[in-house]
Amino acid sequence: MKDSHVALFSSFLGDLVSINLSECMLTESSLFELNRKCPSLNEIIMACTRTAHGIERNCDVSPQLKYLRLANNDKLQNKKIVMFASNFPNLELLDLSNCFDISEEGICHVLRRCSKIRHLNLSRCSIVKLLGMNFEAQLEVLNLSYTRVGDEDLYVISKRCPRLLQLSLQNCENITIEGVIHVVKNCTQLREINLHHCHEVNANVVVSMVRLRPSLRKIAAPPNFPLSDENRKLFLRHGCHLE
Amino acid sequence: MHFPVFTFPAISLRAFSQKITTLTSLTCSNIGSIYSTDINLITDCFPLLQELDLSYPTNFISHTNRFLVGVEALSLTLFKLRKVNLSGHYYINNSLVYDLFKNCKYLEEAAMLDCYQITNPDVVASALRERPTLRSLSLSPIFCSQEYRILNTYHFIGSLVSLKGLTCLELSYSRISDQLLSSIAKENLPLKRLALAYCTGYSYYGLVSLLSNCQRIQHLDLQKADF
Repeated sequence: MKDSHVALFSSFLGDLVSINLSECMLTESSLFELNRKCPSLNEIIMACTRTAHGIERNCDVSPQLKYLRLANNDKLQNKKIVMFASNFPNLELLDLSNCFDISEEGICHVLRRCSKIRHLNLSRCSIVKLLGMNFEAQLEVLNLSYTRVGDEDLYVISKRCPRLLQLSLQNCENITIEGVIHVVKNCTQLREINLHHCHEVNANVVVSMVRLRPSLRKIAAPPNFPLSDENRKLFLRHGCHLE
Repeated sequence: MHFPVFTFPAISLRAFSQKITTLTSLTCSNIGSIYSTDINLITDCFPLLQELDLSYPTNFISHTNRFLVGVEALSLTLFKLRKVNLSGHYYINNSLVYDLFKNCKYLEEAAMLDCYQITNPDVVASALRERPTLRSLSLSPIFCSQEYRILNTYHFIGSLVSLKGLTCLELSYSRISDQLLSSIAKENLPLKRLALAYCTGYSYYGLVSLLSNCQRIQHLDLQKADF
């Protein structure tokens, strides 16, 4: 499918609420065309497309768009997501997993501009850091799996994201018990944390986590933590599922 | 009632059913393992169910034949069933689809995604003729045998477009055709949701024919549209 196809059929889609055009050879031009022609559109999924390409000159602001999923657009650059942030100021969900070129500069700009973002997926954005986040964000669900974030990033997150409910840190090799404790102490609503394959996180931290943060309902434990029936029962007594 | 559980809570559900017999909706999706006796239990304990979601269990413990018999009995007993989701139930075959649609007189929404033994568009077509009041149909892929190959048999298309109240259609991963899409367009079905992800066999012309006639679509899935 081409951008010209989307430009044509989008005029028939006046009632459109959500669309999935993943794995089609489309650029950002389709993204803007849909927003122009579909006034009720609140979700666009364009994973693994050519969204990084295309030069859009005259883009309108589309306040209705809430969910933008752009996973696997591996050429996507900071300047492009900064532009999307200006065009879609009311985003609540942004999925940039596997967009390898996205860095702290771009993300901080987006979070500042789109202050309603609650759900952010940066899984495998390997160079991303969040040290410069000097403002409070409304994030509730944050996925930083397979990134190089470290304890200092977790400290910043714990201070700037007080509403965090879910944090995924799977395969983050730079984090230790110290960073995890910051999050558990400061994010008072935390319900789920994923520490699978976090080899530098001492398994002993898991036991103290439920005591420090009774809101936790699910812990994906780091390596070496014994997932015995006894331990599972112990955690279930605190209302927390262990995996 | 909604259960985010890991195994089917048979003992507690049986106890529950002794006190409350009027349950109308039961969701037990993504459970760890399911036995055919769990299906029998639902049939016995909750005859007034209108909505049942048993989609995507991880493990099927009992033998295929026991599941087939269990679901057929369910279709005969739960006479009020309006919505059913049996996606991922690998054993569902052509004749069980027919039985479900024939027996559940009030069925409006049926989802059987990832059931690879649904292979015969003609039997599915006959099933659809049994339930013209269907509003939502999710069947994919209809993994056609060599003999049929694509979903453009006259019988299948005719039955599909006879569903005059169809608002949701999912045929992802199937091999469809422009003829199928333009037939839907011609009948002007009131589609609000259309999912054709990974479908092959159709072109831009078939798609535009449909979209220009069915302009009430709210949710559109064209992932990997290959033209």
